[in-house]
Amino acid sequence: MEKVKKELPAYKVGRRIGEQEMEEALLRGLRKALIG
Amino acid sequence: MDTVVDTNVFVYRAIKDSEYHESSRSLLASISKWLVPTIVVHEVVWVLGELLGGGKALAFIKALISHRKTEIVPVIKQDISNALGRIENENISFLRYNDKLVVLAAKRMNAALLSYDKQLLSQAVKQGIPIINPYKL
Repeated sequence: MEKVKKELPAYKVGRRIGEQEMEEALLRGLRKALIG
Repeated sequence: MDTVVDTNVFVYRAIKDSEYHESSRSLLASISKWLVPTIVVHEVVWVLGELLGGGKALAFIKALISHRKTEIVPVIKQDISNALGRIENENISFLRYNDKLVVLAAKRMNAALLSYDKQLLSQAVKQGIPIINPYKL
């Protein structure tokens, strides 16, 4: 049984992340997942 | 009412210096159950893997799927079929396929939708799905 966490963690990345950065990251991540 | 939570909410929650970190934190705290379609889990994996790197992304996703509020819900054949139908009928790009799955999963489960994607919120409203609009709180 996985330990139940009370709180989600959060991390700093050193730059402001908004909608555009998120969409670009999704495309990069999906591309890597599909074709390496 | 149960609430389907979109990918962007968890990404903003995971990244302290993101645009809506505090807002996403408050919203998630205010909801008693997070319905998380499998496609959302996959998107969180792909996005956080890129933005945080493997170790931190893994820690966040493990915490998310084991959180007491999280209920992972499958995307079923009906959702996929309906999403493809909408794409065909509306003559829109396959780039919106993932979004359609999230909206249609919310509709099927009679759940509300929480997202920072204005286009997705607009689609949900047109289909009579209750929304939690983070921009109007």
